[in-house]
Amino acid sequence: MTLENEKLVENFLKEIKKHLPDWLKSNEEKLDDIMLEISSHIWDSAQEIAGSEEPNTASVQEAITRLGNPKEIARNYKKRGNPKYFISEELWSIYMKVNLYLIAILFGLIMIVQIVIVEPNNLQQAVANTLTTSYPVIITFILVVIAIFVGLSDEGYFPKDLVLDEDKKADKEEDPKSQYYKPDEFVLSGILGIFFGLIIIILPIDLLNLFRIIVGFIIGLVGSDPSAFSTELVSISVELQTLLVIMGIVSVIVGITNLAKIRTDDMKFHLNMNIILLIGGVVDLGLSLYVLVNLHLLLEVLPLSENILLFFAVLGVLAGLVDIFSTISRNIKLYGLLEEGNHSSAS
Amino acid sequence: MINNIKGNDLSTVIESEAHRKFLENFESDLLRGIGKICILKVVKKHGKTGVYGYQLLKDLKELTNDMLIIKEGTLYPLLRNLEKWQSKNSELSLVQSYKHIEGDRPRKYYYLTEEGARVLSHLEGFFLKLLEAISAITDFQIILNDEKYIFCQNCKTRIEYSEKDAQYCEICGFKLST
Repeated sequence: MTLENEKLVENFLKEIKKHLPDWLKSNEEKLDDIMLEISSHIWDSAQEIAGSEEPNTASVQEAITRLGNPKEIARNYKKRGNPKYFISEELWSIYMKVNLYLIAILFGLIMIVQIVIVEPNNLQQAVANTLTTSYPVIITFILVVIAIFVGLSDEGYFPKDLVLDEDKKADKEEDPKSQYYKPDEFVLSGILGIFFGLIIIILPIDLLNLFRIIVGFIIGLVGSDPSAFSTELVSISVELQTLLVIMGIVSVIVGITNLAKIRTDDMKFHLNMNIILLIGGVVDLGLSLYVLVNLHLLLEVLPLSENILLFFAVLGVLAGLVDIFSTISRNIKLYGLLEEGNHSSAS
Repeated sequence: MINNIKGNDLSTVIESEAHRKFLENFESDLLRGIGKICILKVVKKHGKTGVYGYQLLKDLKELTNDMLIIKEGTLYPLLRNLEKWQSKNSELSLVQSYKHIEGDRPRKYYYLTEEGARVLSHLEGFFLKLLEAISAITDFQIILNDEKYIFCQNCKTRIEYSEKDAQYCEICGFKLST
C-alpha cells in the first residue's frame, strides 16, 4: 500500500464524491460508508489482481478501471424515486403546491400593480390587463419551477431532503413538532396582532400621533429640527383612513390565525393556517405598494422630504416581500415534514 | 447491475446499430430484475454473518459458472437501494449491514432481513412460475421442484414444505393448498 497507490484510490474516491448528489453528501456518516466500501473493494480487487504479491500501481489502476467511470458510479446513487413524467412521484405533490402558490402570488401581485399603479381609475381595464399580461409571466415562472424540479428529481431528491439543513436535522429527528408548533410565539404574535389591529381601526389618529412623537424624538436626537412634529394631527384623509382600516383588519385576522394555531399540532391544520397568513401578507404588500405610489399619504403623517418618505415606502414593500417569502418557505418545510410523517407512519 | 452474460458482447456480433441498441436495452431491462434476485440469493446464502461487496461479486461469478457479469461500480448503489428502498409513502429494508474490520481493512457486511427473505421468496416464486408459464411458447422445459416447494396459488410466492405449517402465504395471506 504505497503512498502513490493510496493517492490513486483517494483521487478516484474524490471524483465519485464530487458527482454524488448533495442530499447524500450532506450526510457525513453515509458518505463515509460509501467511500469506505468502495475503497475496500478497490484494495480487495487490487490484491486479487496482484496475486500473492503486494498490489502495485498497475494492479490498483486495473482495480479502479474495473469499477468503472466515477461519474457513472455516482449517478447510480442518484437513482431514487419513481419517475412520474420527468418529475419523480415523490416530489410531484410538492411541485404542484409550489406552482399553485406561485400562480396565486404572481396573479395577485400583477393585479395589485395594475389596480394601484397602471390603471388606478379604471378597475375593469386593470382586471383585463391582469388577465392578458399575467399568463406569459406565470408560464415563464412555471417553466423555471419545472426545470428546478426535473433537476431535483434527476438528482434523486426526496421532499425531506429539501426540508432542513444538516445542523437542524438532529433537532428535527428528536421532535419534528417543535419545528412548526411554537405556542409561545403564536400567543405573542396573536395578541400583538389583534391589539395592534384594533388600535389602528378604533384610534387611528391617536396611534399616528404617538408615531409622530416617536419620529420627532428620533429626529431631535440626530440634531434636526423636530418642530414640524410638535403639532398634533386632528384629522386624516378618508383615503388614509381606509388604508389603515384594511391594515387593521388584516392584522386582526393574522392575530386570530396565530392564536388558532395553538389549538392543535396537526400539520395539515398549520399548513392551512399558513395559507391565511400568506393571503394577509399579499394584502399587506398591496397596501405597501399603494403607499409607494401615493406618497402624499405618508406626507400627511410625516413632514419629511420626499426622498426619505420614498425610502420608508420601499422598506415597507421589501418587508412585505420578505414576509410573503418566509411564509412560503415555512409552508414548504411544513409540507416536507408532513410528507415525512406520512412516509414513516406508512412504513 | 448485471449488465451482460459473459461472452455475449453484442457490439462485436451485430452490425446494425438499431438492432443492437434494441437488444442491449431489452437485455439490460431483463437482467435488472434477475440481477436483484441473484444478489439477494447470494446474500441469503451467507446467513446472518452476511457478505461484503467484493465477496458477493466473486460468489455470483462462481455460482453462475462465470456467466453473469456484474458491473462492479453498480453493485454498491444497488445494495444501498436494497438496504433502504423508498417510495412516496413507504420504505423497505431487504438487507441490512454492519461494519467489521478484517485485518486492517474495514468492510461492510450485508445480510438478509426477515422482510428481505419474504420478498425474495416471492420474487423467486414469481420468476420460476413465469418461466414455467412461458416454457411452452419458447419451446423449453422447466421442472419445478414440487417435492420441496409449493407455490402460493394467489401471488406465486415460493414456500418450502417445512414452512408450510403456517398454512397461509406470508406475502398475500392466501390459504395454501397442496
